[in-house]
Amino acid sequence: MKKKISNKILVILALVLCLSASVGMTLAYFNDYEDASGGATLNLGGKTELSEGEDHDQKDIVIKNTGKTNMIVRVAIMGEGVRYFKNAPKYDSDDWALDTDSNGITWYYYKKVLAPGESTSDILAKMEFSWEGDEPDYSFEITVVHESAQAVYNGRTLACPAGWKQSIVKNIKVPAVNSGKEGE
Amino acid sequence: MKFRNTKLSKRTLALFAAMLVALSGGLIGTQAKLSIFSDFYIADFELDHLQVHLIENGKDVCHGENEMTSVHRYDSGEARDQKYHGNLVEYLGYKNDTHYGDTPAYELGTPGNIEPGRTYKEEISAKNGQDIDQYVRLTVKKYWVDPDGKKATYLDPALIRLTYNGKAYNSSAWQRNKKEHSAESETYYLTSMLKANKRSPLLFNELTIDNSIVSKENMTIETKENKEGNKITKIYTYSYDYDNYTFYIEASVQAIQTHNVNDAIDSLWGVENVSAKNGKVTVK
Repeated sequence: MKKKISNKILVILALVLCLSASVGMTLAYFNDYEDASGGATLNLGGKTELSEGEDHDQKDIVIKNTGKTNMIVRVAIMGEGVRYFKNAPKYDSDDWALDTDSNGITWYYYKKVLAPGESTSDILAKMEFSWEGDEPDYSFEITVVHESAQAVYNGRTLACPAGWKQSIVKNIKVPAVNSGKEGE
Repeated sequence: MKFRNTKLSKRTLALFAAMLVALSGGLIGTQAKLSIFSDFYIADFELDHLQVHLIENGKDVCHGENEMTSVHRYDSGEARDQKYHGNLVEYLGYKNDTHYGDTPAYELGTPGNIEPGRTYKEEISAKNGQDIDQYVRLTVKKYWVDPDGKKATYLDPALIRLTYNGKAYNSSAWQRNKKEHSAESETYYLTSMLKANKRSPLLFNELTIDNSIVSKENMTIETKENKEGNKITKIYTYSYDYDNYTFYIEASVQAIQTHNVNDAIDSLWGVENVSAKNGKVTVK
């Protein structure tokens, strides 16, 4: 009986020795590592405010980015009734580009990405009426429409929102950022 | 037991006394020998070890120093097993991130928002920081976290696009192991041995958050008109479902020895379809 127990102990000891030897082999390989992690929170969405001024006869149109993301904007001035603009609206052609869409609406595209807190230069649309004879007996309405969209990209150029003029959008000046390309 | 009353002879007593003298003399002699020591000489052995660095935009991300400095840092005796967990994409969206590691973030100005679809510089590679060659692999994990800090598994990690010149990765120098693939994680093996003190070719060089994250399907538009006297202000507000979500990237670079490399790959990396021979790595 004593002899059998001794053999069992010997077998267990032998196994322990073998296992510990293999563990030693594993640890013997040289190796190294380095870990890192990080992230960034996305700000999505945007907010813009269109101001038309206080003068009844003159629209002083300015758009301000009151949100937290970069925006692109465009504006259209539409009216019904009498001929209301004797002269075309005044604007800085360095800042605005014009395009008339398939519905006959003329859109003014701001040629720079509007950063949070920034405002566009203004568009002055003076209403000057002219008629011959008696004053016409009907009302008129002028509507200023503006659209804006968060600056979204296709790689290194701006993505064009649906319905916007692509050839104008792709030339909108974007703020510099390090994208890994020379000169950017 | 009986004791006999024997009388010790003079000779016996003399021998006993001589033995005591001899014993005491030996002890004193021993003490005298122990008091003579030479100066201590300390031998310092240093085994060669592997050292690999994770490089982002040319800098060792685990130390916030430039990569050469970090190598010297260990040479000066700092314990190698003291690991630093580095920060990735810390300077993403800055106008100029070439000062990374030298200039604190607050001195670099306000970072731009991470704009959907915009491609940013994100160069990832490995560097051998020691005088012996090594084999290297790099594991990258990507995922989303919602504004409450919970992992957003419903948002596709593929929207976080790490690329190399528009391609999935730099396949001329690295090989993806399809058997170590998950929706969040990929592992890439450098196909050549990384020589001592050399930097690997880039694995990625661009980071883009796919612009489909701001699709029309998850957009809401709200318009409001304010009138103050004659002054009219129209407010347009756009919001998206995934506003304030955070994307995360984790990267781990691992290196192993070049001798008995296949045993080391098997033992340390636990992959059966990867092998190395004559300085080249094969992923089957």
